[in-house]
Amino acid sequence: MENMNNESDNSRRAALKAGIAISALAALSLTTLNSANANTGSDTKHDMAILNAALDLENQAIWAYGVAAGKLSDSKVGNVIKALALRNQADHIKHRDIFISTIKSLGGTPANAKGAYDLSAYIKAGEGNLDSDANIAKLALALEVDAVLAYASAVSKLRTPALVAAGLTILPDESAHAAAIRAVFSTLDSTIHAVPAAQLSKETRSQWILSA
Amino acid sequence: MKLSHTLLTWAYWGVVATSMTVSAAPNNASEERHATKAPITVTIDAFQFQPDKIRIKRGQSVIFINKDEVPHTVTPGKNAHFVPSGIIKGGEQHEVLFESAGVQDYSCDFHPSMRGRVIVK
Repeated sequence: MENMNNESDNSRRAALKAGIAISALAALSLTTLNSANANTGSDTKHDMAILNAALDLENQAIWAYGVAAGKLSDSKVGNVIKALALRNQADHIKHRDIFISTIKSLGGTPANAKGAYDLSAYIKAGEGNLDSDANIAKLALALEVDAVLAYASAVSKLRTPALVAAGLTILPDESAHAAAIRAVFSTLDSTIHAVPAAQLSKETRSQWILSA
Repeated sequence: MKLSHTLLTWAYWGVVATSMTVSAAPNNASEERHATKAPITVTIDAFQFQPDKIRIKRGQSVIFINKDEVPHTVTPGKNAHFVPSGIIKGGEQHEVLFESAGVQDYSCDFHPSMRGRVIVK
């Protein structure tokens, strides 16, 4: 009986935590959510790991845009890309703060940002570089495209339906960033389209990326 | 007469059972030795290493299977000694050999919050 009460208390506590966390996301996403969507403590732990991975992506994006902004030239193109980079970075900062408050509300510890991130895989693959304004923008594009793919994968594995709904309000923003970067290239080359494919998936990734 | 036949029968099955045990013993031991060196599987799913803590023997390897759609890595921590996996694409797997004893912490380069530990005896 005591075990049953403990179990019931634990599940109530988990539901309450999830409810508060969902509210944190909902407050910014304007999605109507309630604690009835909250799941068990084990689901909360599972979802928290996914939220922390999403936080990792935000921290990486904030860092990358910071590095990129510092390397962009003072030319007209450089300034256009810098303005866009800083707008995208500001969105990522907001996303980061949402994830931090959500993870804390669930009783977890948000992952710390690293001092630097390794982007060599992108540079080796010819998907951008830090040596010119155009290549910096291409690198940012590749990162945003992969962020969309990672978000889609992460959101689909969340177990709390309300967190899925809230997560889906951030996902389109990430793909909008990719389209916005491509739109800048489109002003310089009319054959480049802001939205090059009907889907953004592992299969269409190469259509979205611009080689350096 | 019946009693002696029964005793003989029991004695026969006793010998058979003993010989089976003796002949089976080396096979079991060999299987056990083989089993202790057989690779252990760690699944990467939903941005988590599962299980995130395992105990293995020195010289044993771990197969990391990436069930996520995005790439991950198994990168040694500060005091860990093993060869980094490099990029493990979604749906692919990679075997890591652990030759040094001790606590081997690792994480994913792309998602540093993803962490795991291998205790090598």
